[in-house]
Amino acid sequence: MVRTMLDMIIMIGALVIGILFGRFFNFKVPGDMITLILMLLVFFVGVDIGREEGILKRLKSNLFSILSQTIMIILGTFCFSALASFFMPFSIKETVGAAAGFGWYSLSGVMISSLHSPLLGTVSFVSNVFRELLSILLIPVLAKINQRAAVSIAGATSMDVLLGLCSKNTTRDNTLIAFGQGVLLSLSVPVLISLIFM
Amino acid sequence: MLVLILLSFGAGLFLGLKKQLGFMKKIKIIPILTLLLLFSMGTEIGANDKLFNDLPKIGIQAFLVAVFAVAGSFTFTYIYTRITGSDGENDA
Repeated sequence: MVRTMLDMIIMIGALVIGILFGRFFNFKVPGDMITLILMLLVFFVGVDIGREEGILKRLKSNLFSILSQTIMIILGTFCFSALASFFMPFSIKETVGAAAGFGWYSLSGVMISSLHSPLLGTVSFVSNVFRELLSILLIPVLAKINQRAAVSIAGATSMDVLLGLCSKNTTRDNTLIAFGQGVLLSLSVPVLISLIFM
Repeated sequence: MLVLILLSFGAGLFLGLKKQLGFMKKIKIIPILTLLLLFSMGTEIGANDKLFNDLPKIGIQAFLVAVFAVAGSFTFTYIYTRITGSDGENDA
């Protein structure tokens, strides 16, 4: 958990340093370069997910539960975040898009920032940081009510940063479902965000 | 751009499943690229007066989106597991 927090602080730090550079030195990164870095990032994220040890075997072992869990998370997140648009000056497409990071704040923030607008990219980044923080706080409590519903809130982060937390609070079977949900959602994030903002 | 991003992702996934490019973990390429992108996203926020001044409001809106997203995930999976009888205890 210390590691997770440290990573989060470093990433928020990079964003804050960027804000200061933009604010006081009017520093600007060319748009083409951002696109290129984004392509590289998505490429290596793909490699990283693909290289995960025994990933296909682990997904296959409980495929139906993992699939249904993932679909419910996508539907639940999208339906409810659509409702959130009524409380703020964003369209349904925008709030749904912002929530489509499923906790993966670094990727969703930078993707939406370059595909749509820096404003919504910022909303998405901060919102998904909150999703991860809420997961850290709520999973131990909610797991006492329903383990699969509890790990669902971790979204894409349950395959890596929050996997330890999920396994600490749930049975082995449900930890495997949490891992699988994280893999499928991580695969979905770049695809869904691209499709929403195409 | 959409196509380029999806193609990059697909190509990476394919090579990853083929167990290629193992070196990139060692040189921490994903964290480096992520930090670069977050930095450049920051410069855009900083250079944009309206966006910069709206940051506190954006924080509240983002929190609201997160609460709705979390509530939605929990509600949908809760109902699903209750209907199919596959919640935590039963799965163990």
